[in-house]
Amino acid sequence: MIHDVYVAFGGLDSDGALADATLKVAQAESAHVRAQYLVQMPSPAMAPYGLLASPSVIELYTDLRADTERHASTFHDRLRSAGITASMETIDVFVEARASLAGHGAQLADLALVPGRPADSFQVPCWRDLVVGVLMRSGRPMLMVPPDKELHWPPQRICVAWKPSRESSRAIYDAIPLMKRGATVQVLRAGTPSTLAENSVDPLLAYLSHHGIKAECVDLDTSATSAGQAIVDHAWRVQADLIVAGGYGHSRLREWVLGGVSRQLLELSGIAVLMSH
Amino acid sequence: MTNAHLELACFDIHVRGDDHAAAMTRAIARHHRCHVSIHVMVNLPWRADATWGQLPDQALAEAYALLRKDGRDRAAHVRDLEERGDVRTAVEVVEVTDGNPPRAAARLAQCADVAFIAGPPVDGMEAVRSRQYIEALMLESGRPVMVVPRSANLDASLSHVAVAWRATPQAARALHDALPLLSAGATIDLVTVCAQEDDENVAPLVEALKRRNFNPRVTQILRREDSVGLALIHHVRTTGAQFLVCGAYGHTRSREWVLGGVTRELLVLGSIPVLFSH
Repeated sequence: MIHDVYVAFGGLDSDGALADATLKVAQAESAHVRAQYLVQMPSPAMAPYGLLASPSVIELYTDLRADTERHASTFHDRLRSAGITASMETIDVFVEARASLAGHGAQLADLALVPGRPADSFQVPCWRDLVVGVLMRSGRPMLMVPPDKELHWPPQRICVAWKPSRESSRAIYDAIPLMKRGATVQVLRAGTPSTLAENSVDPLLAYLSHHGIKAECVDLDTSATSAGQAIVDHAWRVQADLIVAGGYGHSRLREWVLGGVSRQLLELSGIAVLMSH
Repeated sequence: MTNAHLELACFDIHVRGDDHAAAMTRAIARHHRCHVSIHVMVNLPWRADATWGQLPDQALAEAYALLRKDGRDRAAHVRDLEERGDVRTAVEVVEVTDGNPPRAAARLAQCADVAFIAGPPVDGMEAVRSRQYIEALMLESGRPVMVVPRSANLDASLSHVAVAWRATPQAARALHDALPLLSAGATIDLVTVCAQEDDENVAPLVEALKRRNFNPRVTQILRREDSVGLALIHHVRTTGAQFLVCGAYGHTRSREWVLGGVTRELLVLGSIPVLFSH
């Protein structure tokens, strides 16, 4: 059961689609919503005597804050009229704090929603912070909602990108409540014919069927393409509503860097992705 | 609240506490009317001491025969205990030939909801083996791991547990992993250990648990000289909580996992069952 939904807005052009998706999920689950608006404030210009708080910058801040407040209260009204309880929080973000704020905020939720990749490439670093923060620092499953595809909830066609790793098994565990609701589930096993033979998928299928989930296994040959691409292509071919996958990353000097397949799924798939680390 | 879909996996790793871990698994399975798999782990080591690699010599064949028989005997013993019970149980001997049985156990745990294993014995080879299994399960399975010491109380009404709470991803995951195991309306003691009062703001967490119809209680332990692990154990023992829920902390140090201080303390001092999530 999903009781608590967390959602992180970043002042991005994909925020609107995220608000629609959050409303849909919260309504279907009768969940409580906790929304955080983590909006980037431009840094003040550096002058010879320190930070320059010029009147124009102060005005910019005021405008940005008012804008964010307006978005938050509009969204709060929409939630309220749908009978959903919610708490809203707007936070000015100046430097690096975005990732840890989002990660921390999501810790109590059953599901943490983040925006899809924004179209404006200047917003991509902000977006990446939100995604990495929630994925790596919350310990909770993350749902990324693509901006240009309507979210189907509960998802009817689910593709699970599987390999026998901690992250992947974590994502499957976290997705079980969703898969249980009669969705069509495919377990995707990507690899070359020789590596595919090494990892038997039977124990996983048995585990899923124990939970009342009928799943079929599909092998994806990656001799000619990357695993990420193969998964995305297949998901589009079967018109999947949701991809479930482990979120891989390395911590490099206290900063998390996403793994290649994870990045491909999040940036290029255009399909909703449920990820756990 | 019972959850008949749960799949519990218990690992028999040939240490003194195995029976106790299996008993706790059964007690929880009885409560939820769910299924248990008991994996009897048998390590069949390679011996690559001949110049041209593996030599199937007579001694090795005999050693294998002995180890296999030992595995069968342990499985028979476990089945014997089961037959008197009322829990749906599958007992399976798992032979591992790649020299890394703990990793095999972690792989098996990936296809269960919770893994159960005996707490570490005090010393000897058993302690080394147990440590390797516990570390692998905690850090590689992606599943919660219940470590059951021999002195654990096996009452499983699941109506009162304690959570060692810190605002970390590991603790958040441990808490969420524990919830499906608990009875409806269970009391959850949120224990925070901090340097000064009101260090950790737990009000939102209390609200979130109340929305799920649990009964959260907040306890703050001020950090003094004595160890955090001891303070947590003391709390669990004095309040009669059935187990402790705790994040498992560890770092990779030159490609080898090293468990964090409190995690290690809880394992070594262990007199209470602890559900760890990483």
